[in-house]
Amino acid sequence: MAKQSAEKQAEKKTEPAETAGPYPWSAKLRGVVSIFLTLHVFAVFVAPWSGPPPASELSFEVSRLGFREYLHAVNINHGYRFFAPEPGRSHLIRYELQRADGSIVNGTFPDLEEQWPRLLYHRHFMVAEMINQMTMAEPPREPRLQFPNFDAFPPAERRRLNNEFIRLGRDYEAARRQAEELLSPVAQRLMIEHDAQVARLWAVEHAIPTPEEVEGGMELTDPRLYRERPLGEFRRQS
Amino acid sequence: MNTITAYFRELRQASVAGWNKFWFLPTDPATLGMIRLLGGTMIFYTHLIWSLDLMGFFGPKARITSDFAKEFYGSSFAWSYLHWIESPGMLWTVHILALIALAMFAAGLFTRVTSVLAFIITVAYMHRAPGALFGLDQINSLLALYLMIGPAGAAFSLDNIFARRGWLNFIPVWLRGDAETVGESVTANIAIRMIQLHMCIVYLFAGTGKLLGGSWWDGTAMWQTFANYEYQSLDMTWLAGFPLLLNFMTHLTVAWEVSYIALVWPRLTRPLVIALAIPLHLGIAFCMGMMTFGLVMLIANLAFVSPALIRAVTSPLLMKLRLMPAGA
Repeated sequence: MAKQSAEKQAEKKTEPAETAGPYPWSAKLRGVVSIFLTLHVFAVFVAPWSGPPPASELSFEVSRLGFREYLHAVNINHGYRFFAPEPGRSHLIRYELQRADGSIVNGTFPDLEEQWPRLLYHRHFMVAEMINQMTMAEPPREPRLQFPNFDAFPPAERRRLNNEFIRLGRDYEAARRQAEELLSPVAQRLMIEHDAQVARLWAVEHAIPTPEEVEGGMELTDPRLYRERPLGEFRRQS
Repeated sequence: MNTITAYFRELRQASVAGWNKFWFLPTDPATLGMIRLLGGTMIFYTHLIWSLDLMGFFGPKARITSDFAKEFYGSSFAWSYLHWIESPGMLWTVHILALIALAMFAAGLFTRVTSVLAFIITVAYMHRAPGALFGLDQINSLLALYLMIGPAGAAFSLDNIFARRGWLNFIPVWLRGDAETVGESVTANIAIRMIQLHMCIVYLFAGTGKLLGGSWWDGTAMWQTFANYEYQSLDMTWLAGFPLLLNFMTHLTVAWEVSYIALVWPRLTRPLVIALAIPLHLGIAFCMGMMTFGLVMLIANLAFVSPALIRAVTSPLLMKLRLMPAGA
């Protein structure tokens, strides 16, 4: 027993000096800072982990342990999914503005001729992309319309699908309200800039031609590559 | 049992030693200073461009309203002093002051204070203008955060120049920074390590996110970026005749991003990884019209370049400009 105790003492003495050596900071300071560093680096990881879907329920629950607030506060709450999952098509906004004298102004944004330098153009480009994203939502379909044999489903399944429909409906309404809160100021801004009274907006999706189509002579701006959907008509507010 | 105990003891000791060596050895602030100079300039430029449509993005009748911005983030922690400013006159005043602070930060003047201001300004503008942001802002934001932590004004800065010439000795140290006393610094190392780790996480999720997309697997993703008219700044559609090359570029992009977190650390593979960052990000800069994003990613990658190399490259020029004593 005495021999084991002596051996343990010797072991302790020969342990590498974790707290000595070339470190200007004391072991205590390093320990405290290490806690912050660990939490911060983990928070940096949590942001994209719990970020754009698909993301797990675990990642959401972890992010709710105070990480979300911290990530917002220091502004590192980002997904970093650059051109992911797909580079994708680009989106523009086409507008038609009517002035008080009846004249019409047509345009699109982003527009390299109106927005220069490139960074300013890109700002408008991102707004157009966000408008498209926020206005894409379709209202959910009733389960009875989705599933012809809905009435034959077990009661529990019918309840689940109905609850899901209600939840999706609420999400859709919330998305629609948020889209409206974005669209209306955008339209107002256009009317202010062009001294117009009425604005009509369309979301334009610009598809990408295949290499074969380009080799066959198709231009990147071929009209067949554009698809529009109306976003609404807006009147100038005082 | 003794073997298992010995293993865990060795694991603990090696982990602690490795952790200490990774985070707490002091380092030359040259890399941090260079990132401040270049990254600070990018942050300044970013905010300068807002000036061209300041009212359109931040004014009382902006296309993105303050209420929308608050609801978009859904968190009171997504703060911005710009929410409190409603008058155009006040907005312009605050914006010009912000530009002055950012210019001082980029030049490394009163860096201890201006680095904090740069962070506050960067975050405030981002939180006020959701929807108008992209990758550039995300990287600006992380650089501003970490440059605030270390002595970013201890190298390649006006603080440093003035300190060596004793020009600002009448100003308190807390304001003018400790440029003349900072040689190697632990906080410089911590700041650099944080940038390094953050960039590893950026590339890990950028790469794995791409693996969710079919075009990154079937090799057509790079074509989609080159043939996207709204992004295009250099016509690369001649690549339509070289499908295998497009496939290769697509696969290389994903492989590089996904492997970055592992291969950037070993001494032998780091130069290769950083070297590949150059054509990838310059490609984004020149071909996809995102010069700012391409350049800021390269600036952030500088965190993996040693201070010794930074000084070796910059010393001849600094000596010629007499910003550095000969033989320093």
